[in-house]
Amino acid sequence: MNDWYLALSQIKRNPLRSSLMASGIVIAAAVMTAVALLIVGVNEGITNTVNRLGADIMVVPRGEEVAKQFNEALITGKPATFYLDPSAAEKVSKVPGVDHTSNQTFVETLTNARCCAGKFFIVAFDPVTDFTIKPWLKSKVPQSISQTENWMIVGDRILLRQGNEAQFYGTSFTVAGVLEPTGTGMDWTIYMSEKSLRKMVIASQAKAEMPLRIRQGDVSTILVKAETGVDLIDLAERIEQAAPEIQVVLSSTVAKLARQQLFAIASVLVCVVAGLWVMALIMSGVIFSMAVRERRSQIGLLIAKGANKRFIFKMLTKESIAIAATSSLSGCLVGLLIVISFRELLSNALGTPDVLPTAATTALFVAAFNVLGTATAVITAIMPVISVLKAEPYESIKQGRLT
Amino acid sequence: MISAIDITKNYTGKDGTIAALGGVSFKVAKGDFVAVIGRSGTGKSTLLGVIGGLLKPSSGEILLDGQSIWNLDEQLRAQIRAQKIGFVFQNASVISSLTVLENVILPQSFLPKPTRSNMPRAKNLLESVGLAHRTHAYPDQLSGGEKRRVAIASALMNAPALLLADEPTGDLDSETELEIMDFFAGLWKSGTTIIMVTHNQQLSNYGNRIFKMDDGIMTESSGQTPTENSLS
Ligand SMILES: Nc1ncnc2c1ncn2[C@@H]1O[C@H](COP(=O)(O)OP(=O)(O)OP(=O)(O)O)[C@@H](O)[C@H]1O
Ligand SMILES: [Mg+2]
Repeated sequence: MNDWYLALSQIKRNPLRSSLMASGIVIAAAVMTAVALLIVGVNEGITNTVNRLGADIMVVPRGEEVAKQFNEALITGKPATFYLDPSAAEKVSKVPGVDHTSNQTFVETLTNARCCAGKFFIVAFDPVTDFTIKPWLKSKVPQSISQTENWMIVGDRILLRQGNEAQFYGTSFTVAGVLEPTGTGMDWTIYMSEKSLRKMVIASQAKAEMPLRIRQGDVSTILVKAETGVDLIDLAERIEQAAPEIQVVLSSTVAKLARQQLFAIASVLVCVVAGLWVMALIMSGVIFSMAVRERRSQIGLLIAKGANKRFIFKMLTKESIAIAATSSLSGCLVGLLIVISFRELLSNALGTPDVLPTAATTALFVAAFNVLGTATAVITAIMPVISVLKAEPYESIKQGRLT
Repeated sequence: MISAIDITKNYTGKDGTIAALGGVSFKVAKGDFVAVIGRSGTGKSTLLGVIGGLLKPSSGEILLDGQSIWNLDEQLRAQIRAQKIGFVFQNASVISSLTVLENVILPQSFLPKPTRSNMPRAKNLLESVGLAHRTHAYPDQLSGGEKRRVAIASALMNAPALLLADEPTGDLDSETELEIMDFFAGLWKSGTTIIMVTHNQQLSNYGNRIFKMDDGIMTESSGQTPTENSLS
């Protein structure tokens, strides 16, 4: 009968106390894991976006609000609507150092299509000049479809597949291709050709309840591929000088802006989680030390039977380890399970392409939090118990009730 | 076997300092059966605690087989308790999370070289105290007297040379009391040294010596002080 046996017998014989002690840790560890995974997952989404933008420089109308909208659209696929005069595109393409450009026009749409309800982000692009969308196509678009009048290409998380149809503003579109999952806003975006958009705009005047108002030739962003070896900062400056009504967005600024937002939210969340964790630790620590104090006579009895204080200390430590380790492990797993099962919902709510980091990162986080949770819980449980060990055992035996 | 040299024990609490033991000296030889009698609050339990190495005296020395137990370090003292001393407490404590049988076997775990669980011995002991049929019960399923008998069996598990018993038959009926006392008498015969605290004048006759406690002062009941009378 070793210290483990005694420790576990205590847990087994006091199920209510043990589960009370565990419950706080389970909840706190679950929340902690979920929040950490969310933050890391969102951050990974930002990194993916930046790595997968394809364009060296993006040009949008001047204004802070535009920059913010654009960022969100890139990372989360949240619809953005702002427009540039067609002359701007002309000017940008002529700036020295620009290899070629491709324009995109953004449309926000409400759909009542069977597949999906809600707001969707439609991007109209020029299939000839495009260099950012087509590389992500899962498979080649079949001839038959590409020749259909109104085709669209959809992001991986839009619930439409090749050949499906959906109506926007009274016009029907057929899915010509699906993009690879990118972990960016592209996953939630619907792409169509510039030509189709124009037709849709015209048709919407007659068919749609809320007609689209986009002037002929308006574009939302100009994607720039720089000539090789050109300094991007210099090029950005030249572009901004050439057309004063526009601003330049570099992929690095996309990340910076998005991270600023993320970190603002994350710091609040981290504080909340830390507070929750401290509360859980205090709760379980108090319960544990109360339980040990109540058991002083039992501890005195063990000492009378020949246990030394080291044995008692080890026994109590192991009791708290057993509770803390199982509860923090199950808490971490619950947190993981929450994120997995509400993955889609959370991505939508947080407006991010995905909330779950890669499997390896996820496993690392769960393991790390499990160790961290166990260690801190054991320390807070054991600290107040040390004073019990200092008391004279005989006193506690005499104070003990008849058990 | 035991020499107590001028033991004092003061409790310092809210109502000042209480001198529970006011200079107690005695010798107990191997094979003695000592009954300690005295009124409530005179320091009998305190004395047992000091002898057993559980309660540090304010001054004085306890020699157990020539070793001054309060000059040893905590671990060695724990070892002596495990090997040489069996305790039966006044309040009949048992470990509530362990079964009857586990309670009896428990002290084995504290021997310096833990042997394999001596199940037959534990079962024998339970039989001697009349609890063979309750081996797998938990203490909260036992009566007060049954718990006391478990405590006695547990105290004897490591075959201690010295048994310190504080009112071991406190809440037992007279029949069970008799059985336990006969059991103690058997132990005594087989060489165990026993120091037993009791209120019961009759029970004190089981021993070969009677110490009387009176407000922290102890006398051997023959009228002489125990030291002069001891068989060292
Ligand atoms: N922890 C303590 N703090 C203060 N005083 C104490 C403490 N323990 C015992 N005493 C006091 O010391 C004296 C002796 O106590 P002790 O328990 O040794 O008496 P006892 O002879 O065993 O009594 P009883 O027959 O009722 O068990 C009592 O007056 C008691 O109030
Ligand atoms: Mg007493």
